[in-house]
Amino acid sequence: MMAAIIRMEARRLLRGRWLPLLWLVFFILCAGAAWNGAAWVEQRESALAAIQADERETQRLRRAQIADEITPDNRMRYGGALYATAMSLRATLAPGGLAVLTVGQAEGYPMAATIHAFSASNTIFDRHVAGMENPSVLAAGRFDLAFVIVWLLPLLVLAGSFDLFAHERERGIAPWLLSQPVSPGRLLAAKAAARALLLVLPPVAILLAVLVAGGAASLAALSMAAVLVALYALFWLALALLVNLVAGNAAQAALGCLAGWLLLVVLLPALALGLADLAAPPSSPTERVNALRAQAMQARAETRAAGQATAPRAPAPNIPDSLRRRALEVERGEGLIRTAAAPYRAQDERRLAWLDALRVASPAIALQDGLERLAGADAARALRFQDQAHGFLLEVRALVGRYLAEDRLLTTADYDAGLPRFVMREAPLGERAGALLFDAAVIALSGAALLLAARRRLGRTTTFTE
Amino acid sequence: MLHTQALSKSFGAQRALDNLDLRIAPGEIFCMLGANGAGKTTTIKLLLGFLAPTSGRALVDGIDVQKDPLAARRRLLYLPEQVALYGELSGLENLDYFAGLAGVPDRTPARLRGWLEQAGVPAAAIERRASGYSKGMRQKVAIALSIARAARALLLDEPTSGLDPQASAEFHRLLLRQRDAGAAVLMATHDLFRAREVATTIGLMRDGRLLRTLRAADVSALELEQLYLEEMALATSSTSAPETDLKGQP
Repeated sequence: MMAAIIRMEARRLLRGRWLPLLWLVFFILCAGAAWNGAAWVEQRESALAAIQADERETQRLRRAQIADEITPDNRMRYGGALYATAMSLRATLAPGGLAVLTVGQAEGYPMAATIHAFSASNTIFDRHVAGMENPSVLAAGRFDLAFVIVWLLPLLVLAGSFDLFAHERERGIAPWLLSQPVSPGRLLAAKAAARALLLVLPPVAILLAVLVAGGAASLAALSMAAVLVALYALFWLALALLVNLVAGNAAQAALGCLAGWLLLVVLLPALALGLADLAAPPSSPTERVNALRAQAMQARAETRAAGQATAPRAPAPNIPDSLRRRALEVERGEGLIRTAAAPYRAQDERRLAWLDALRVASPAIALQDGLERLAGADAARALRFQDQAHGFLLEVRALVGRYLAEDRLLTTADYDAGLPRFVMREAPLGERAGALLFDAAVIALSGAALLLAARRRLGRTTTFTE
Repeated sequence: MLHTQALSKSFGAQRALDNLDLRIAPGEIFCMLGANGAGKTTTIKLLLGFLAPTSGRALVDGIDVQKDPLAARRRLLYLPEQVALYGELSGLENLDYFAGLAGVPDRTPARLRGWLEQAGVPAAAIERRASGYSKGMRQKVAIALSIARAARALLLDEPTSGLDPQASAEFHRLLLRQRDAGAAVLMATHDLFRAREVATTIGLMRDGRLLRTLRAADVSALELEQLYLEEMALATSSTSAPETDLKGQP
């Protein structure tokens, strides 16, 4: 019987010609947003390719210098390429699997690092903070798929379901409808299910289609995106259902739905951010840069003062002692920098923990978080990259330290065998899935809470047929 | 078929229905007459299970409406004063929808069309959108639903108010056919003359109480009108009497 009601309700909804129009509008919005997303991915991949090409070209030139240009005669003057400290490496953060979904926080964090053994760890990202490629984004916000889904999909669902039952109450159909031998709960469930078929499935299908067209290939990521978006759309359907049990007519229901949208999509995320700012304000980049730079300079001054006292060695080593002193200076500076950076790092981590916890404030926040994680544009991935880039820097320093200790020069064979390469290790599947499941759970439980409230309201109401 | 036992309903301090005992057998039409607020619609809503009684019981075919409202509604068809249909669907699709809700099997287009034609819906209107239907036409769709569901009891709440005389006469002809098919009918109406014509029994209600029941065959239209006006006049004098008494006191 439920299936029959759903079929008839769906037929009734399809009879109104607005539904295909809504699908079309949503498709156009998704296609436009996916186009933007794909353009951003292409731009970022080009930038990363240029960084990697720069790394390869630098290494090729250094190898050529060693092979063809440096002779015993000019070695003192041009022999820098022979020292391990000349290794110039890059660490890059490739866009995630579903990067076309959203830019997320990717532009707030560096996309690459330049690794030299003597670079202070606070400076390796300096050349690679991407910034926004288009200043108009600052004014108008970014039009990407996450924006379409988080902000506009609810409006589509509400446009098709705000009068889920208010229509019947307003037109006087309700008493006659409910005098039929069908329970109000079952009738409303069937009406909601018909809308789920027509307002949830087509948008999810449209989203998957544009993601695939935009280059997404991971079946697991696509499936998770579909689950998150479907849950989100169902949440808004549940809200419409509850509003329809409270509102007396379609106008009240429309206002109620709109108020819910404003509260959950606009107001609560802004309040959550404000709360995070109050409880755990972000660290100041300028203050941090200045503090770390001061530590680095102090280390350099102290080490140089100590170095002036040491006498030159005879015979002179292959690698000048000035580089060894520099290595000591960097090592000492690193300790000072790490100490100075610790409070900033702790402050950032506290803020991230707050933002993570505040996901429960609204399904819109949870979905935005989930989509950013699927796109690989979340803060956690960016910080993971920063940690690994620092780790790579330390590996390179250790390697260079061995060359210095053994007084060994770089050879073409070293280049031919391959210099160290950075490989980004993504978070374990369990960790990533856990965060996504948490987001899904927030959305699903919020929807379930609305359904429970609707059920209680349905049980209490005595004027349902008025 | 339709049975109430000491049925009462209060809204706060206001007694909307007071101790109503009613029994309507299959093939009987019971017309409730009374002014607005007499308790007619409340009685119908209690029989539908839309309202919970303050005391007493409402039974349909022996089923307590409060205990099993769906089973009771399976035997009932309700016609509100304004039968509202989905305007974007045709009469045939509306009938299909509502008959589907009621679990009517085998709703082929031919059968649906047959039920509508039996209820007097013109063939040309069957496929037309219901948004253009008159009140009379919408009621015919409701009667078609009654035929499709083989409803054993009808609850009619002022079904002919606002209908032109021809449509009203046609509606009552359809109603008599339902009665002849064995349906028990409870009709709330203000139309004394039509009530006398179609009813088996007439009940006069006032202030939530059933004051008097009459066999329709035993009274003429004029007598019925006289009785009705007398009861209503009593109501007016009984409500104004205390004021007079109070005013008369020194």
